[in-house]
Amino acid sequence: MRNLIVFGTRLIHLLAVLLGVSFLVFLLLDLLPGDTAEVIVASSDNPSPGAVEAIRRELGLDQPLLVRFGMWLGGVVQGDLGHSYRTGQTVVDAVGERLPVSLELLVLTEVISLAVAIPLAVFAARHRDRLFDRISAAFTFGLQSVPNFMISLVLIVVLAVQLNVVPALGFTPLSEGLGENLRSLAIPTLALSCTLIPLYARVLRNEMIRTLQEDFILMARAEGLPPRTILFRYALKPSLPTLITVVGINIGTLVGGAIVVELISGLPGVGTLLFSAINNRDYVLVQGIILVVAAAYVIANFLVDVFYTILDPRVRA
Amino acid sequence: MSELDTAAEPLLEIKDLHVHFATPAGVAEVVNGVSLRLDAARMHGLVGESGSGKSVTARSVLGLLPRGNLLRRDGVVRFGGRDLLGMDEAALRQEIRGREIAMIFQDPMTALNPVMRIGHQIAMPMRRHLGLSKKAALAKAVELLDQVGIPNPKARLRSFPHELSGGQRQRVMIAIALSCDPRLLIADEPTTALDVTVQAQILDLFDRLRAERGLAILLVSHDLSLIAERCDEVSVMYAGRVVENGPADVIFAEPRHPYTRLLEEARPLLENEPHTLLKTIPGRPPRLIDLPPGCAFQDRCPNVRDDCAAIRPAQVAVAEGRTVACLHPHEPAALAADPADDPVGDSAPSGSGDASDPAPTSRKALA
Amino acid sequence: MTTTVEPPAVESAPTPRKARPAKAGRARGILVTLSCVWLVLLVAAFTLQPWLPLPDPARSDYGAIAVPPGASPDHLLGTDEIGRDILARLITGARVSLTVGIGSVAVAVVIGSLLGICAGFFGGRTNRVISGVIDVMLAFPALVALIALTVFMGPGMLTIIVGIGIVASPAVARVARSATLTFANREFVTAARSMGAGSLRILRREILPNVVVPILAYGTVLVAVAVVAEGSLSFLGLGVPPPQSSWGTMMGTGRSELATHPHIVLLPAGAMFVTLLALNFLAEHVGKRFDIRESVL
Repeated sequence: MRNLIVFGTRLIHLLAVLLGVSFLVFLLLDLLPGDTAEVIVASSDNPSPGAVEAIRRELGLDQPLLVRFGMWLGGVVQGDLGHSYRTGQTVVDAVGERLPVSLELLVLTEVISLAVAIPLAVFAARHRDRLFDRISAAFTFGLQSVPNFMISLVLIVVLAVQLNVVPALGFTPLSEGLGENLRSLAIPTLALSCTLIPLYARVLRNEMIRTLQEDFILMARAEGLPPRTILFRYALKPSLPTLITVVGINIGTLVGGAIVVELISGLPGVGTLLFSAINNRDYVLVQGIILVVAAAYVIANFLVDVFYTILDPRVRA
Repeated sequence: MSELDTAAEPLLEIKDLHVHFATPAGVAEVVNGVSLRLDAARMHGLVGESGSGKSVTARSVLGLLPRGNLLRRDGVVRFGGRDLLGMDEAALRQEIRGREIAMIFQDPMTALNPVMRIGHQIAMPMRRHLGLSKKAALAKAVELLDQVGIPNPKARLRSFPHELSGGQRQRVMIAIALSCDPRLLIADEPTTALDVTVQAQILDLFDRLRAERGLAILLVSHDLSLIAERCDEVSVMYAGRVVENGPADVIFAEPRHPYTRLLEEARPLLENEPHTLLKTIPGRPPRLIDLPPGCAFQDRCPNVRDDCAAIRPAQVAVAEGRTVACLHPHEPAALAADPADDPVGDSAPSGSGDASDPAPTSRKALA
Repeated sequence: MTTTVEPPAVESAPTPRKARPAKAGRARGILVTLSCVWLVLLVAAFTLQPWLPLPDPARSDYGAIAVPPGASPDHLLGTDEIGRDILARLITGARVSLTVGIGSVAVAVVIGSLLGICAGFFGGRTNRVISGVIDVMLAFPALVALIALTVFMGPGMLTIIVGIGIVASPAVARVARSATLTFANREFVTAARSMGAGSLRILRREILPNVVVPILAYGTVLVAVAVVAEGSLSFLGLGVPPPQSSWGTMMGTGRSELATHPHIVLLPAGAMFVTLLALNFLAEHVGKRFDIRESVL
């Protein structure tokens, strides 16, 4: 029962934040220097004097701010985020066709990052201050100082151009074969993982070292349990919640990085859509994409919070 | 092994144990020649102030010392005839820890895994050591919970530690310790974190376990009253050494070592008159990095003489099953007099460890 | 009967443990010095640039396109894809990156401190409102917010500095708020109040001096983050407009030549990497000195 109340409170908080976020995104169009309608027309597929009036009416630009917000929000809730003034396609459709690619990239990155970082951290914590720990500490520190676009570029030079193991650009959808699909995602996934792995490894290593000093670890040793059991079932599990928190905090960085990396590797994802919209001065589309991304981020954080509660029983109390 | 053999040989024997650690400030001589013996179904108390080396002694039995700073660890630790100090980590882990000897710790909140259900925690050692399946181990866990006095054991299997009270958590810890039917239980300050009524319950549980299973218990504590009332034998520790050793009732009724005597006198008793001044032992324990040659208690001892600074007293038998490590212990007869001017008997009855010194000069204790 | 004389303890002093921290401390000292030297070098380079014997960074030498480093005596580090001298551009890039880095952190610290200290000091409704605003601001992935701001407000150095500053301020506000909360409830504040000190005075004399330390320590961590943010924006073409250029812009435009003339991208990449290492190292050093727990932006 108490869990339901806590969940409900969190849900309301979520909705409040979503409201605030959508308001800010809504305001973006108003930031445009000059007359909004005229700017939009300039990029549209049919720039004519009558079009300015039409757009003004369509977007309700002469209405007071809050009324306009209400109208816009009403549309959003029903699934209408407007449409691209350049191609005519609705924002929802445009984003919808690009979303699977971006999602695959994001999920693959998280999975690989965790799969590499966790064993790395466990091993470093087990042999703390010895050679492996020191080398991996230096390595992760260095890696953290490299922005993702830099890693991406370097990887392209090394893996695609010099060694020719993976394609430099482009994307092969799943329907054309898993192997090719993964190869086309190799560089962007690797580049993004390189920004996350050092962070995850460092946080988990520190947390595990702290956990290993707790009394219950000594007790487990006194019970004669084998070292591997102690390391994974007694030390790792209580250390994971902290890692999950960091994962949640960094989803934003991941999303931003994914946008950049998609562009560099020519993946047909939401990121590249955003950029072509920017280049085409397709402001309504840009606004729509930003709304989708921000909302998805807020919801993702919410889900991480829920998952954290599942993972750490102490929080439920 | 015949009955006679096991009766003669103690279950646990520690002889001249030394444990030293390296610290930035110097070498800490934490355990300095400790000897004691423990028999089956007996409860042996190891009592001393913080820093006296009792916890480290207890942990040395199972080889649970931190490896980093360990400088020296030698002596004899024999359990059931087997040499424990010489055993390697793998053997200790597989054969002794959790199986023959189990240990419980002071704070049950931090000594239990916070994210693992207690049923699983109890089942773990059984699955590892006895090869039981998960189901069988959990079934046995229910029995164990019942034996340690936890109501509703089947439902409790799925609880997490933070859902239980302090006393219950301590019982769970005991259940984990008993799961593979060990012969010795080492309890490091098991009741310190609990309130008094719960303390009594836990100790009653200990008594029951000794009676039902023949379990031997090494009880480490700084709580003198506890040890005095509940233990069969006692070793009193000071600055890494055992200063007095013997049956609990005798030791505290007639303490021979000056330290034991002062400890006993410092105990506030319910029968005391109100507003009776609490007696304290003046001074502080010596730093383990900087132990003086000779007796460690010399700076605070009311019986101190010149030879105390030069000669370190060994544990000497003064009666059946009783040892004292003092050059000038209290005599049984002299106890009625005021301890401040208690002269040590030169014409000592048999068994007193006295240096042959024709004219001892007695120094008064620090006033 | 028998007493034993304990042989004098002949224990060897534990040297191994002591030696390691000292050696690590020395290595760390060297790295700190190197980091400072590098940053000072950069600042000196771009300050003195007008007087240095280098080609104009904006001028294209059509006779020397994409020249690799070391190949031409006129262009020590080569030229880019339209013939501009790379070394000169690296130096102007340093100016942009560092100016934006420090400037935006300054903005973030000012805005964030204001919000955070007020939230922590006044508590109650003020705290709830400000915390709500912080939550909404933090609900945007950083780069997305930056892109939004620069796209809709138009490019320019000022926009970028203010934009990064605004996006970074919620994190500073959180640090400021928790630091203020730690101090606002302490006894010396109550004591000051009982002597008749008003809120403003307390803020100025009791809270501020204590809160400044963790905020500034966090600020040093932010500088590297800001440099990366600026670099990303410039790389995407949303950064400082030409003719000014930063390292990010160099990498962005040089991308087309990546396969054939990688030096155009790798040289600014190297410069940025070393600078980030130096900044991160100094930030960690400062953080260790003041024992601040790292947060992640």
